[in-house]
Amino acid sequence: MRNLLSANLLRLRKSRLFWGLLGAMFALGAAFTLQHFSHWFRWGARFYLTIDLFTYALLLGFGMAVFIPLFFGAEYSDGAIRNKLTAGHSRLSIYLSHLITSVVVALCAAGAYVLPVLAVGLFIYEPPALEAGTLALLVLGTLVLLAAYCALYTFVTMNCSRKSTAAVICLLGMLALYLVAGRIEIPLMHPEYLNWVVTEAGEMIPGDPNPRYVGGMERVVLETLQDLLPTGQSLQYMRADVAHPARLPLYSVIDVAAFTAAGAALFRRKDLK
Amino acid sequence: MIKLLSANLLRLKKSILFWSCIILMLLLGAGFTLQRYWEQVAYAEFGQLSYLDEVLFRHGLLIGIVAAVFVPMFFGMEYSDGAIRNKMVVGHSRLSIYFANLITAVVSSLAFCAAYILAVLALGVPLLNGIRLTPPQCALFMLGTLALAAAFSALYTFVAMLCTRKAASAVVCILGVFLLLFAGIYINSRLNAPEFLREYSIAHDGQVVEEEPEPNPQYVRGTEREVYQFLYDFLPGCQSIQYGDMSAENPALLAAYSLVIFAASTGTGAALFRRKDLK
Repeated sequence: MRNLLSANLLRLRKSRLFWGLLGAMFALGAAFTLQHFSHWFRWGARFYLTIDLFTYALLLGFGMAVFIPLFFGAEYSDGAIRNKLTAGHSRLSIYLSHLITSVVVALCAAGAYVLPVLAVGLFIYEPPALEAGTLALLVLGTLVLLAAYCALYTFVTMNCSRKSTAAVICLLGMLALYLVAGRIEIPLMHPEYLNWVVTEAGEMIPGDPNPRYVGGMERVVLETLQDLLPTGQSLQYMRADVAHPARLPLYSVIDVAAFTAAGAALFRRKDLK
Repeated sequence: MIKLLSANLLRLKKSILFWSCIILMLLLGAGFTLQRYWEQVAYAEFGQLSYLDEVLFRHGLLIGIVAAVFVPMFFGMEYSDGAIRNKMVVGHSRLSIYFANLITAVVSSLAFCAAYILAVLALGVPLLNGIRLTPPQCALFMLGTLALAAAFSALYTFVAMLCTRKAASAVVCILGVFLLLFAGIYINSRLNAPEFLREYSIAHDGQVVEEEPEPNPQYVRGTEREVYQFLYDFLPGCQSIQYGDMSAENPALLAAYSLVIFAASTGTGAALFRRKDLK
């Protein structure tokens, strides 16, 4: 597998798509930071560092949906997968080498995004209003989340021999998952009470209950779904407002294991013609 | 060109992708209508009413995404199969190939819109309340959304005919429409920022006191606002957002802009395709 990995990484170094992705992520990181910089400069607006820091968790959901099918899909059209099999590599090692390469790409792209955010942001942003442990969990969580996206797209790309179809499935799948996560969030956002009342003693007590508030078992199911979906996690990380920061990386690991096991099992039986 | 068109339409009739898109639009039309109906039933005690026109023109929002998948996948195959070269070998001009593909793309987009409208009308007429728009307004909205579908088709035909790689043209079209839609959401939020910010505070006696309103620094003024408004009316993704939430104030102007986009992209696309090296 080491040979496969080094071949992939060599191909990566010469790939315009890879450098294009890094360039795009760097440009987006710089653009978001400069936008907030202009608000800070013009109006003295203050922002926490976390306002831009974790946006890569959503951007790379789309970025990797383009990169993985185009980069690895070419192996089907060029016949490279058959060549690798002929040279004696197992299907499992081919699958895993692709997965590892795509995770490396995602981490590099996240680094390219974070670089301008930190370079400018450390001077103009307020330090994050989070404890160091929570911040570390958020960083770890976003990195494992990137691996979950890679596992999902590798699953599609390795089991779909048409590059264009794989690209369309990954992009539309990402959009669909994003819309589902957004839809799940709406009922969860409704507050439990419509208003709060100030008593004569100056205490705040809950007023009218909100009929749109979702509670009980339904809330637990929706929250679990939101935490399990990679896009649901992305939305939470983007706002740096994560209810269960320790739970999300575990769910991402479950996503990686499930997509990889299913993808590798299907790929082992796939007719490569 | 009639032969090219009939060949394209015959291929369309047998295309699984085309019928999948039609079924998807039928399902989306039915889904949106049933969602509005369920909301009306669930919140009936709060006087919630759902109207047919809230969902009738939402194909303006969907067609950009569906056509971004269909057009490059359907016409991109002509490059990989060598069908474009075959068409030229039998004597068809490049211009007639381009226009035949464009007309086919427009026809299929209109068919997708029709499928959506059909599903909304079939379920919405018996389940939802009527249309609040006047008949001329309704006709203008319909004209605007269909002109937008034609503009999207022209843009995607431009990409599909000038990019020989099917996967690359599909990615360009889909990412392009995402970018246009996000631009629409961003410009919408800038234009809808309030001019003044009102702040409230609670006094010691528990009374809510309204503070003096302050100007909102995020509010867009002057020439900048005019530029944002023009982009919001001109860009296809922004038009989609306006039809999606039924906030379009001047659908006739939007339709005119769609026709400008249609003409500009077709003119440029046909000129570039005439000079393209087809190998």
